[in-house]
Amino acid sequence: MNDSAPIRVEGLTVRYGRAFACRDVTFSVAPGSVYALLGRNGAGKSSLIRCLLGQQKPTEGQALLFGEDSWTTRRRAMERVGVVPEEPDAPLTMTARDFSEFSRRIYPRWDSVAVASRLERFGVPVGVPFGRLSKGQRGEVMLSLALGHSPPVLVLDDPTLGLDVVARHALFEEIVGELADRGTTVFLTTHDLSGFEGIATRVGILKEGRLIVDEELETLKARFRRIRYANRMTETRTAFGNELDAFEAVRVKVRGWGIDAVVSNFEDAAFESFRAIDGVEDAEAESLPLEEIFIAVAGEEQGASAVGSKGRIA
Amino acid sequence: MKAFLAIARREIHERRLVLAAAAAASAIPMAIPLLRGFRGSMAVDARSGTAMLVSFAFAFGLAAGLGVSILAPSIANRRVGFDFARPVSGLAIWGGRVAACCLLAVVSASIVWIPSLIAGAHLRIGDLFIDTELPRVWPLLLLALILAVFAACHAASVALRSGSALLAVDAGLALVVGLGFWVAFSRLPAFLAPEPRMRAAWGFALVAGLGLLLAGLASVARGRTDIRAAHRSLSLVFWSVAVAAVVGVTIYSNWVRAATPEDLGRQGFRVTPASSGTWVKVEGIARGARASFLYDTATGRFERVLVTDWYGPAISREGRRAAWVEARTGGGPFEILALNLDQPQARARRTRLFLEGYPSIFLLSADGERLATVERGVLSIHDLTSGRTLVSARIAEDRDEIRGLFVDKDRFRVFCQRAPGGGKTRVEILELDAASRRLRQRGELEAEGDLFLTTNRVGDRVIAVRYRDRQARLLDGATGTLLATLVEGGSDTSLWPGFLSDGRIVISESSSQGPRLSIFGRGGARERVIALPTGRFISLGGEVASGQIVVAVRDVARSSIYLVGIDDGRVRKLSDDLYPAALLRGDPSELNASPSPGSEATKLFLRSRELIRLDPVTGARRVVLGGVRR
Repeated sequence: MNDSAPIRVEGLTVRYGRAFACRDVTFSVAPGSVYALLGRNGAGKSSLIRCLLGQQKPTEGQALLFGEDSWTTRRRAMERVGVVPEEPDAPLTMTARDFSEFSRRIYPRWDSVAVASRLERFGVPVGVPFGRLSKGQRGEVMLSLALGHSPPVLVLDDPTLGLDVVARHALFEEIVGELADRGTTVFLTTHDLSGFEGIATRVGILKEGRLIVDEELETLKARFRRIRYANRMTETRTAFGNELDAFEAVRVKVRGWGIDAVVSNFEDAAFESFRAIDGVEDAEAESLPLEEIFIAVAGEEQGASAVGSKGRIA
Repeated sequence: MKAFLAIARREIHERRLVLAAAAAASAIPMAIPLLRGFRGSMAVDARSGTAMLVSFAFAFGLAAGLGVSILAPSIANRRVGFDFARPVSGLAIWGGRVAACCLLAVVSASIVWIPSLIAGAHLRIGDLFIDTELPRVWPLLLLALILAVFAACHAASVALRSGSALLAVDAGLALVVGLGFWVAFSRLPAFLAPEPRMRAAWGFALVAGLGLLLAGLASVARGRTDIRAAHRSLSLVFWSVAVAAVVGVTIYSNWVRAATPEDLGRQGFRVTPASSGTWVKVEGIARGARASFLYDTATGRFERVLVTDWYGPAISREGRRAAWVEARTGGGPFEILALNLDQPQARARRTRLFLEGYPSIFLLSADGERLATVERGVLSIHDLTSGRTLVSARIAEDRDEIRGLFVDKDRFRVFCQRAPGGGKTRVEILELDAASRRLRQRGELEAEGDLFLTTNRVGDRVIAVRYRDRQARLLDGATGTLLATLVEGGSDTSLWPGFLSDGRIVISESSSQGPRLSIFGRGGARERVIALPTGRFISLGGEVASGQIVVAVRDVARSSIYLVGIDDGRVRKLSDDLYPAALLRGDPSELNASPSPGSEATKLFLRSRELIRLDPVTGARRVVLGGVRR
């Protein structure tokens, strides 16, 4: 565990009655990195973020911001954290200008000019009550407010949810610009995997409250491959089904033309050996987009002949 | 502080339309007099009353509405996360909203008032309060009420929105706390402890109100975006404070109830010694409540008696038994209790005898076996040991003045004094016999003007003092027959008659010619006149020994006591600043008879907040109660 990490989560468990939202989750986010926490609805992402922001007390374990427990030092920590919530939660009758004025009073370093120029860039009318803005505009206001005090840490809870393409694009640009300018550490949860694939440096995947993947995006993508091949019986090969063992398949589908598998432990040398197996024909491996990796790892297994995964996941 | 102000400012800004609504509502009190066609002072009164009503409705309605809506829904739907995602403390989030609510409520109420005030309406908040002490702090009181309403509505809103099973626990605790408070509060009856009762009620309300505010803070600071956690924190803090408040009230009420005779010393007390023995009745204010005790001056043993008003305890002439009436409320029914004073371990005993109302006479027989009561004109003789009423008879109307005494154990003689008109007083002498169960009239007497009657111990002779001409006459106690005229004083003469143990009569006379004692034989013949040192008032103390009486001579500020030899006329000063605790009482209906000769009662004296035992013969003295013991 990296002690200098601005975000650390240690053995965090959140329970509602008998139901677990998170179970023993541990990870850290290095300074200047972009950590994308993925998970299906109800996987426990929002509970984890609330704990991280000191808005909810974990049942067990702790979330640390800048090395301090976020539940007990929330107020101090929030001076250095910008937050964009899943649902824009600002008071509906206030305008963006009001919010900037309000924030100026509570943040030691608030840059009203930067906020105004960012809102202008977004094209958000600053005098219109928040409740009358479009969903995209609300998101843009929240992002502007989150960046108004130039925080070293930005926490985004599914910021693109419900945004149209243009608004999403604007939001990505802003975040990329922020990263380039100041090396902000970003922790985000998202369903928009393709959008953040180019930004995220590390990925975590929550499934049923457990963190089953916590890895650099590059190594994750290197590990996961789709392998397609035709499988034949030969004179020397009388049975098959274990040829993918070395790759730790997470999803295998039997098609009319052969096998379509997603593996989580791909290696070039092992693939060459695989191709040499008697009866394995036309074998080819292709890299996967993050979205497909996520589906393979976090999605329910589907298809006529899905087989259970075995071997390393996280 | 900056965050607190920023939140308060934002909340007010968000709800600024409320002020416009208040301005609109201010038209109501202006319009009412016009609509009803009132003019002049009636219009002013109508406008004032309506303005008060509308402004109060506005202030408290706003407090309730904001209490329900300003935070609890935001916690439930997690929109309060907007504030928690900023460097703002839970205290600022809660406090800012509380401040905004108070300010909006007060300013709105003021806005409602302004046009009416300009039009001449008057603000008479004091009319709302019965207790005249309250209006001085009414702004604070109203503010506290607004805060309490706000906090209570927030608490209810959080609890209901959480939808948790904790609601059932809340309901149970509410019942327990309410019951606990009532039990503790009931230990302070209004007729005995009005001030402690008020203190307990206000204290509990204040602490509960503070508890609500603290609980609100806890629900925000500890619950944050989790409505169930908010409810848990709220319940934990509020019920802890409420239970602590109940414990506090219980401790306080027990402390008040556990007062001892020593506690009476701070505000002074009254003492009535028993005719014989070492027991006294002592009463006054102890720990803020009215308190009466039976107190043994010899051992320090005491028994608190919860008597209502001035009735009881009565102590029998032999000093062996006391009885009194006790009630759970100020208006009866009264239960009669008794205590055997001569048994060291005895406790107060309920006799199973009840009185519906206040008794006008409550007297024990000499041995304490019988109790006579007159209540609503009905004379009854009760047997205290068996708890039975032996005999009852109607003897008087409500306006009649009644005095009486036990002639012997079974016979109770009554002097029933009524004013038939024409400035006359008529006294009927009646006797109720428990043995024969008969009431019979023994005699009667009539006089011009009011009479004051004094009897000897057995009631066979009576001295009647006529106020109008300060005339004292000796009468036959059974028939009312005139035996002798003792004194015919002037209009400036003050008379105090008493019977001595040997049957002789002593009358103190205080007039412009100086104070003096006149001594008369059993038949009423004057034997001696003893001049006393100068003083305005004379009181006759007890007979220290046969033929020796203590006399107190008082001026406005000072009382000196003298030992007077009835036979030799010698007057010896005993002490300054003392006053006899037991007087040679003239009224037979007094709870305790005159002190027996040489009894302990004749040696007890009062000084400022002190009961002192002084032996007039040896001069030895000690402080019995109050002050500094020596």
